[in-house]
Amino acid sequence: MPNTRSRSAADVDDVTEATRDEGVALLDRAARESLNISGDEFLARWDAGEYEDMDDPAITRVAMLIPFAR
Amino acid sequence: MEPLKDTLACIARAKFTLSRDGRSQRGKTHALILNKDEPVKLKCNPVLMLRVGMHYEIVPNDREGQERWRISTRAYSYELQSSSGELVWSYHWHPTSRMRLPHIHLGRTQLKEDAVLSYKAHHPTARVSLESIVRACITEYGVQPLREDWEQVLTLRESQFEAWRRWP
Repeated sequence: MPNTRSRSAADVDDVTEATRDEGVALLDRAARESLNISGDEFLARWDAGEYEDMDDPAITRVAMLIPFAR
Repeated sequence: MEPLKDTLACIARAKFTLSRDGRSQRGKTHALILNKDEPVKLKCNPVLMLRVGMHYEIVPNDREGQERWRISTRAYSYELQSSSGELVWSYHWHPTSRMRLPHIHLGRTQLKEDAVLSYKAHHPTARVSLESIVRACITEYGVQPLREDWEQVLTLRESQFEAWRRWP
């Protein structure tokens, strides 16, 4: 069995939790990069169901960050 | 987090960021990303980059003799990009949306303009493990592994994934 613990500690060592402000900033940056809108606007559109026919991977990329801002 | 850390450590030096209370709060969907959502540069030529995102929930573990709580995946996005940030492919599973089944998107730059395959189409797949993505990076895309025992690690962690998952 491989010695998993020591190597993982060296290479993927840190697990941190984002604060809500950091999470909001993460989502805002992704929304601006991927969809050219703010994070707040993305969340408003998401909550309004505008992305229900979600065909664009760019939307998924931003949606994956929603728990950071909730 | 150990299985995920081990798996990623085969090809990447990266840090995990969890959403708030992502280590402890139950009854909520949490998110996990690498390097604050910056794609991770992989060791290969041409350079490729990996972005990983997952949603998970902390749920009771009903298996005797194991930890009291475990993580259950609720969604995933495994995305390979070129060095210029163009999408090569992304494996998705986000069952709260219209497309509930696992699928893959192929990057625009990987397709001809008159191709039948499209960027927005959801090409169905089975559920895809992070281990299989990391293995494909090494065996199919020339990524240099960062540890010699990567095959053993991926086999071990994938067998655990298969033992724990609640649906195929």
